[in-house]
Amino acid sequence: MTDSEPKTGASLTGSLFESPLALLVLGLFPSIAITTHVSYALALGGGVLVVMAGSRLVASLLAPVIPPRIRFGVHLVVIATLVTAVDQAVRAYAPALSKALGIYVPLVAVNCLILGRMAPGRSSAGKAVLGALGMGVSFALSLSLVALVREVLGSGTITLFPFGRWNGIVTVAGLSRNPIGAFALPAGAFLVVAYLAGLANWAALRRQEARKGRAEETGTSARSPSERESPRGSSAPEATG
Amino acid sequence: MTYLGIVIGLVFVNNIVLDSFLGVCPSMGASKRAGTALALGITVTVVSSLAALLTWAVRHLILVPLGIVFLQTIVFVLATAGLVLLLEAVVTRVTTGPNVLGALPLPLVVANSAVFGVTLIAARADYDPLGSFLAGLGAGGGFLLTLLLLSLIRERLESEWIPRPLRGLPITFLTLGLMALAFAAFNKGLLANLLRG
Amino acid sequence: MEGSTSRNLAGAPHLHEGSTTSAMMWTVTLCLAPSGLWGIWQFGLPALAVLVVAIGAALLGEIGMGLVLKRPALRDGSAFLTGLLVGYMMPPAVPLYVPLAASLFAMVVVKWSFGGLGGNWMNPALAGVALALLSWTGAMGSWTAPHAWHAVVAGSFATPIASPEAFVAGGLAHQRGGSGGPIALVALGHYPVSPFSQSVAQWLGSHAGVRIDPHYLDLFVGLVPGSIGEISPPLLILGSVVLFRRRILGWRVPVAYLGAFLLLIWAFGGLPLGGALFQGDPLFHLLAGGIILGALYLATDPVTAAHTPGGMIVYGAGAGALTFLFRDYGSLPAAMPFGIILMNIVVPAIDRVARSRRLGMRAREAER
Repeated sequence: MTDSEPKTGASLTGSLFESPLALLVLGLFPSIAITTHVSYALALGGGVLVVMAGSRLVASLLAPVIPPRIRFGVHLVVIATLVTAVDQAVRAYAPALSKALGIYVPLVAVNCLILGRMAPGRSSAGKAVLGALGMGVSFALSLSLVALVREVLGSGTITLFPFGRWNGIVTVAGLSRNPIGAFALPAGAFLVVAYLAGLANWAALRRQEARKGRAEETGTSARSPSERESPRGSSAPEATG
Repeated sequence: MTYLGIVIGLVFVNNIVLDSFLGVCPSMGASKRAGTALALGITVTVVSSLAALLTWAVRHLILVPLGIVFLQTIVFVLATAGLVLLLEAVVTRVTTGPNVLGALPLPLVVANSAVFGVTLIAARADYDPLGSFLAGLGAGGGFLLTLLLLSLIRERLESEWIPRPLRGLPITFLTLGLMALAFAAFNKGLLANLLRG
Repeated sequence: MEGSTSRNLAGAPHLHEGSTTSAMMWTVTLCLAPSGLWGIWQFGLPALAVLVVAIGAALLGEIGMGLVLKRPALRDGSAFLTGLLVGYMMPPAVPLYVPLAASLFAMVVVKWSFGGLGGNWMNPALAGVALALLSWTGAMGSWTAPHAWHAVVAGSFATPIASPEAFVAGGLAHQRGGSGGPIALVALGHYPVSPFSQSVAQWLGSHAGVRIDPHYLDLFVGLVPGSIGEISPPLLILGSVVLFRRRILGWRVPVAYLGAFLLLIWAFGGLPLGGALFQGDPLFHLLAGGIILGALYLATDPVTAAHTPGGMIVYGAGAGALTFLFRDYGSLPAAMPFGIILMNIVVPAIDRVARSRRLGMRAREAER
């Protein structure tokens, strides 16, 4: 695969459609495990949001005080503490959910680290937190998208949160009696993510070609800001590991 | 659960990559060459078995007696990170040749959800010390197996034409998905029947 | 046509010649045809419907992907063959969306997402069937009585009835005490026998002094519940003989596959039934289920099988061993598809080892 490996949007300023998948894949992929139900994805996404924004805030506040050598360790502790807090909260208020999410809540602690390191250094705490919030939201959305596809195809339902009398489950006619069980299995998760990523790539490729077409017409050497800014494509995993 | 069951379980039935989705991120980068895959796989196996044992000790000798099990996440993360640092120091001091462990940056292995995930799995299943060690071994072994097979398939894919949008990440995930589909035959029913004899 | 893509010639086999590939594909299809016709005869219109849907979906998938990806497709008969094989592995009464999904999955995901026309590393038909086995496990494990049992079984086509190997597996769950093997189990459970085999067995017994359990005869001729294209060993073997003689089929993979499978069944097959070692029934397990179809037509797919002589033996043996594992201890309705696709995963590794050994040998020769 030489020239035509499209960049899967490791640029965090890229479109909402591109970058969430990069976040999902590069940083928090184990979370895919809970995408058997939409509600799980929303819940975990919410948790990640809290942890990311909170840890970014704390880290920015502590930044002037921490010597660079132990910055990594401090980040580690901060994130782990926040994750513990979230985990305990879920355990207390929604024990069934906590059981379903299992080890994937604590696991967020380890993976948020990668994301934290990926974020470019920002000056003000406010901007940093906003950036983290943005990442958290797009992560939650992409996770929920995967869960939506998986649950609809794999169980024929859409599980949201119970509200009043309604148990929160939407059944999809036709599929709910004979769903494609394989999508509820791990294999299905890989397949869904693969094709969603492929879709994102396809969209990106079309946009690239459209831009090139326009550039040729107007005679300018058009390189979009996101193309200039994103040095890492799908090779990002190899660089940061 | 017998010790054999633990190992077979983690290598085939609940393969940490194909079933638990752990260790996928580093797999993406390290799976392009069989050599890298082998190195990473062995490293993860060693680290995760030691980490599982260490965290068992920490949990049963410190956390439980003091009643602070809720601090497990923080403590496990620190313990795992510390272990990796220690191992890296030892390996650097002991080896004179190319340092495999050092070639893989520290954050990679620490942040490797496979290692941390195994410690959590072992803790939740409440294995005894040998069980925890074997769990780490099995998980790492499963990781090694998966990564190695994946890298060899990817090497073959390099000489094939693949539709443009699917090149790179998507086709790797498709490959993992098909592997997971095949591995789904190793299910709990099989394990139960096997252990029953 | 092929020169436009950069293909490493040391890689997988490349079926370049459209005409040769096409002839090969259609020859295989023709050799498989009798088995399917037998299945339609024994299981009726539902079986025909399944085959039509499976093949149709495969053709649709192939045409569709060819259009979307702007690649040449369909002119070589491989899609038809894949659809046929998917249909052959389906139980006759399965809801039609099952072969539809299996065939589409085989074409779109397993074959064309990887480039199609020799680019896939997993057997598409088997992967589609595996998908079906995992997604609709119940439907894939529901069989119907064959035409030959009309007189013996009330309700025939519509009545769900276990296939021989499923019956045995189900029996295993209930009795763990020694029962003397699958045939004894089958007899104990009053598993039906066709009148045809009953009379043949009687004739053999009284006139030739040969005692054969009529269930074996049923299995051998193909008068049992099972998947559409899997039940008749003689027709499948006959077709394969033609393929062997035309050198479309090699001997290594089938021999290795069957060798490993039968040996392990013989050695360990008795254990789940409460017996000792070496009390397994290889004949029963050879004839029941898709073993013969798998050994002769599926494991031998040149694109996804190992590509060196030694590799083929390793690959075949591995697939056979895994098939044994899933047949005797597994909990899914079919064993053969998984045995083979798991070895598909290992094929690049086998090829790589074989290649480096060959290079090593050549290097040593050069030094001399």
